[in-house]
Amino acid sequence: MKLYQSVGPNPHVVRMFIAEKGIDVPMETIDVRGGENRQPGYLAVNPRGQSPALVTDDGTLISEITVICEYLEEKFPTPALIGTTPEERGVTRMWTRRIDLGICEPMANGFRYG
Amino acid sequence: MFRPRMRVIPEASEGLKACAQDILGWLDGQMGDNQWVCGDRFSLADILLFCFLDFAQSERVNQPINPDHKWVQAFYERAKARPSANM
Repeated sequence: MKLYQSVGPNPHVVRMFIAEKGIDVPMETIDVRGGENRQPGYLAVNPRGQSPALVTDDGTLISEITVICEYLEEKFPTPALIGTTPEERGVTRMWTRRIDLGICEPMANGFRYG
Repeated sequence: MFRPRMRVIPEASEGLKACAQDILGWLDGQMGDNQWVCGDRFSLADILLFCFLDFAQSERVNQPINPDHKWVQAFYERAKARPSANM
């Protein structure tokens, strides 16, 4: 398993999640300020050109931070960061989506477009 | 920095920042005595909220926490104190 990561809030989410889990995931830092994520080498890893991206042990690409975290929760269930019952998981996912769509997206795009 | 890489919409920038603050204000009002977003248990929702608030505090991003958002400010300090926050 390898996490391609960089500066920015999105990789920070995954690194913090990994640290809370107490697991070790090999990481490779890419230079997004220098545009490395838009070069052919990285586009071959994640055609969307965004950081972070996880490549699993069998070579599967998983990107999108909440999805990477869900994958890691399945592979490493404890300590639970999404929930241990359907209700807990539903509540976590509800708040995660509210925060993502209502706060993170406009905040990040407000910054990028400015 | 982003213009050559993706479509940017400069006229939307200020409005989008205000949208984020609106929802932060709404969330602030929902949290009551919660320590974390989902109540007593720390979750992915907290990690997501914290990391974006942290990003927003920088001079470059310049979307600091509104002093009226007391729960959000206290939450930010609580989350920042966790060892994982500095990873």
